[in-house]
Amino acid sequence: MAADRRQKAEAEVLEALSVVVDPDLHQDIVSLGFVQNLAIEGDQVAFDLQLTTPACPVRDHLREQCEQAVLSLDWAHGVKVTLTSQVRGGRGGGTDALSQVAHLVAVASAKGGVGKSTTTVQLAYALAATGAKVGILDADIQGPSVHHMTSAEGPVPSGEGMMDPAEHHGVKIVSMGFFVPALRPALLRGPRLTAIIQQFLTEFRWGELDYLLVDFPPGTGDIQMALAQMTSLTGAVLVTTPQEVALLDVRRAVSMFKMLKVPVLGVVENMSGFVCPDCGSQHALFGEGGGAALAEAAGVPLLGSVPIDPTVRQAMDEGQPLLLGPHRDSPMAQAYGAAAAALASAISVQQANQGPALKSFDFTWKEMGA
Amino acid sequence: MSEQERELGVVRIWQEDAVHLGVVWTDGKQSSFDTRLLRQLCPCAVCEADRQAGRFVVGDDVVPLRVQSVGNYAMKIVFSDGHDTGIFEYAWLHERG
Ligand SMILES: [Zn+2]
Repeated sequence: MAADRRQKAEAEVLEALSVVVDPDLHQDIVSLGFVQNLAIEGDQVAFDLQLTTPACPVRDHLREQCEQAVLSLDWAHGVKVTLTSQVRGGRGGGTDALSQVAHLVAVASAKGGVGKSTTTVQLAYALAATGAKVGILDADIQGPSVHHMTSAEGPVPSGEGMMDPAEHHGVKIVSMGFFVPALRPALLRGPRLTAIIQQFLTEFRWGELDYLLVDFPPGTGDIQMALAQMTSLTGAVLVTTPQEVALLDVRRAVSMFKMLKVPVLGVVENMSGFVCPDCGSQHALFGEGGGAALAEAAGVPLLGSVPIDPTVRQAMDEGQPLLLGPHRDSPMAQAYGAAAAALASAISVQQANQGPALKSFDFTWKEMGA
Repeated sequence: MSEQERELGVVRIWQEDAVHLGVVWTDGKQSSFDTRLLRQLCPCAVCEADRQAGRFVVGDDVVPLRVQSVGNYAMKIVFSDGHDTGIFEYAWLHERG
């Protein structure tokens, strides 16, 4: 009898919660499997709400909706919602160094000088600030800069082949900049470059990561194509700045990733405006809404527009993750934080759409009777 | 957030028997490929050139040694005759499977 009553109460709670819809996935949280560990004691209801990313921008909103839904039941007088997250993806099986990395995301641009590495670093720390496990692979072998921007200490060779990435404020980092500057990476070419990136991917203990951001070398040539084929990318973020040719550049990058079947998750527009150091107000440099128009013209979502603030920029160039330092409330830091949240949502949507596809496979053929 | 289009992918891939490669695609379609035929149809530049020059000769006893995914869009098959430059795109395979 008591078990019957509990079952009935659980069913009522789930039915009440099924009106709560995840705005990104367009599906209710019950059928998405987000409601877990439901426990009912008398008139008290408790459960975990397991989101697809700790960076979920609407998590507080979802929690409130859940509380209201449960309290709408006439017998329920208390509710406790615990927010948890499980970044879905997982490269499954495999024993390779990336087997526990849920999502590899390319951060790319058609050309240099648009703040691609800066964007990679700030997105990474913004994602990490939400509780996600994050890594950065600086694949810009010829012009590595991530090591400067994070003031991380280089990784220490562990002797037996596999190495540990550097770690800085909880973010794992591998960059050519850590290794032998005497190698003059600018002089390396083609196959040698891809071989080094391959090593970065396979010979480091990346461990369990929700997001591994790959800072692509600028451009849309052979190296970028080779890199995109080396591993299975969840998607790509394109970085641009407001310029006459930006749309052309973004289109070029979009078509490269399209050809390689790598979904473009969105565009981050840097230097979208200028934060006046005197009055703190923002001035658009190239007209309002340029980033949104550009993203729409290129047929990809706009993840964020980041203004430029000379003082903050300097701190960033000196290796400060903005969200962890004194500039955490600056418009720049806030813009990168919002872009990171939008990126996390785009990845969750991508994951839901991708369905059960294998991320990678590799097997040997066996002799068998025909 | 705009919807991303669903790309063609592999849900399951396995060796069916001595020569056949089974694939279940993300659109639900199931294919069975004769790998000897895949070797004959190898789309790589070397084989294309050989075919054009009329000197494409591959024994029909050639079998795969290894099957690997390439990025998100293709698979590479290493064959027992040492040939490993053929990248078989999912779209190409799906059309023929
Ligand atoms: Zn060939």
